[in-house]
Amino acid sequence: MTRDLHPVAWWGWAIGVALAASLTTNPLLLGLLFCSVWLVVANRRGSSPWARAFRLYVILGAVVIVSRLVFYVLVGFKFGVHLVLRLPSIPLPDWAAGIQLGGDVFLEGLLAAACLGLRLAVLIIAIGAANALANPKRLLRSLPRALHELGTAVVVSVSVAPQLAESVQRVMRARHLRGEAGRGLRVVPRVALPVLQDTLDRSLLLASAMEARGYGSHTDRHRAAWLPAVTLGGLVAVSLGMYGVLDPTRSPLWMGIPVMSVGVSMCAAGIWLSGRAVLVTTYRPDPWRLAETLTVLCGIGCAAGMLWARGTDPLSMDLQTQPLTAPLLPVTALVGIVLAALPAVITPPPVRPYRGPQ
Amino acid sequence: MKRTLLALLLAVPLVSTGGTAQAAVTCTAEQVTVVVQYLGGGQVTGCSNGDPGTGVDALRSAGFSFQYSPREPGFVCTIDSNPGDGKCMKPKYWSYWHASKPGAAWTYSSEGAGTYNPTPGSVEGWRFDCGAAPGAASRCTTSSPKPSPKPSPKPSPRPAPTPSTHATTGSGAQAGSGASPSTTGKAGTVSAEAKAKATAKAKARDTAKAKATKAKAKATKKPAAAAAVVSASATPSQDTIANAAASQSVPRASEPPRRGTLPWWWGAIALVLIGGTAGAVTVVRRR
Repeated sequence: MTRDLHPVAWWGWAIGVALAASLTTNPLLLGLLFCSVWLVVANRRGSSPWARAFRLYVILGAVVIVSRLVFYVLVGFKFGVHLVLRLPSIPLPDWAAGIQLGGDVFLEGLLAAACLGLRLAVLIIAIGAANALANPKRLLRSLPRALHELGTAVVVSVSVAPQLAESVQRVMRARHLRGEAGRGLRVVPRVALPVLQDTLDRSLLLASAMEARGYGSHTDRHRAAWLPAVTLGGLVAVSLGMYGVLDPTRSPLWMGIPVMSVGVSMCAAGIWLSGRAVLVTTYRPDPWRLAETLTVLCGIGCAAGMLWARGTDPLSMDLQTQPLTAPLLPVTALVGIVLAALPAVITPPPVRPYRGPQ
Repeated sequence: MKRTLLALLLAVPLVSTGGTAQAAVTCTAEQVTVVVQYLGGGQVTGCSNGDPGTGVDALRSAGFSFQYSPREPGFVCTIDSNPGDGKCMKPKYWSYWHASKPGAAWTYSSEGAGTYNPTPGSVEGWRFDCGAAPGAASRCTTSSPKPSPKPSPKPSPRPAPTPSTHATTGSGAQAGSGASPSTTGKAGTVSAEAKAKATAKAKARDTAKAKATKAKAKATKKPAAAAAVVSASATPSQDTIANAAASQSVPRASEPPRRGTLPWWWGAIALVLIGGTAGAVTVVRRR
């Protein structure tokens, strides 16, 4: 049976994979993670425009690695024993001490920089995979009810950009048919006005259509004025607690986990309470079945395998450069990577457009 | 490294509050004295071989081995494999200090050891603590649950694989002749401090029941000046050094695969398998 997986499931899986990638600089593990993500995307993406954007994320990852290497050669800290490239070093004044401009490039430092770049690239590609696999419009439906109006605004603005491009094309085509010459910047004022008018017309049309379908209707239920204060206070408590968690040495003990949990519960309570005032039903809600749960578990399992390997044998999770040695393959991390590739087969295939009998 | 240094600069005053560069060994004016204080107070002093170009060169040629952090190359993570558990950033780390001459006050380095060029005759200090200078009181808050030095000796199956460190120690010391253990006040023999250090390590290793480099250990067992080098501000100095050396037997990546890991070519096979499948699926779907 073909159906689109719940978008939240894909995001859960991708965040697990991204977390796993952030835990290692071992090039073998990073390469395997990339291949797993690629396999899942290749096998389970739909035919939507954002599904085809996965290639762009891969290109972005390659750009990240290359620029990391370029900056390493330019200003990075050079160390190692195997000389790769002999470059002159430019002396810098005292206030820029510690920055090495140029200088001989060694294999060890270059490989370490490449692995750090690869880690960031795999992280970006994992998030790109979630973007390619999950429908962003359907994801917005999964927002809590309190944020329903915000979600509606985002959906409207997301669909405005392609409409604007289409509108410009239409006006230009009309001008062309009328035989009006002129290109470049000079025609902008003459095109801008019709496009603006077109956009306004469309917006009014969309607004009346949405109103006809019940959007923007106000409930009579009273929304308490103190509810936003609860949510805002919760956010402040979360940021304070985050500070305490990240730097336990310089902040009092109570500022860590306790304040953070209080903040999270305040936020959740605020959103839930204000969500009660909004009466919204979802048309054809996305189901959450076994495949969704398994997909999220695969992501969690991938991160857990990496964490386990990092806990038992931290040296095998990083590329060792002193001395330079071939990377090892921790078994638990490999199990995690296989888990990350599993959604390629355990999820239902996506709905594809009918192309006629072949 | 720059990032880390910046963070450290924000957290630590530039001049040490207490603690001057007390070197247990006198080096020549052409050498750089390197003082390393491990966790728990054990302090070891060495002399560099000639005039080193950078701080890490001084460290290396004074007979210490070090490792950069694999995730922050340039940030010195371990010295002589200390700390053994690899946790070297928060809250304890190897802070890096300079002093113009033995007995002068410590200054926190504003530059990484990989690029800083120490002047001959100066003293370089390394201290594993929360930013305290060598010899000064610890700056760590008492929240740390273990008061004793690290129980780091893991039951590693093989002896320490570092005969090379000792070889360089010996040669480095022979080049720097004329050094003498200062606490005894007597004129030392050639390479006294290096031998003494080697002996201290050898002893420590014996207590750790590792069997590496028997001959070398025997050869260097005699000099009684060993204690002169290991001057400790805390009482359990021998234990600290024992732990220091024992944690050297933490397995390195250069060794044959450990339990729970596979050699790299397993990874290459898996890479070809998963990547090949993904490529094939992409090609098939495109048709």
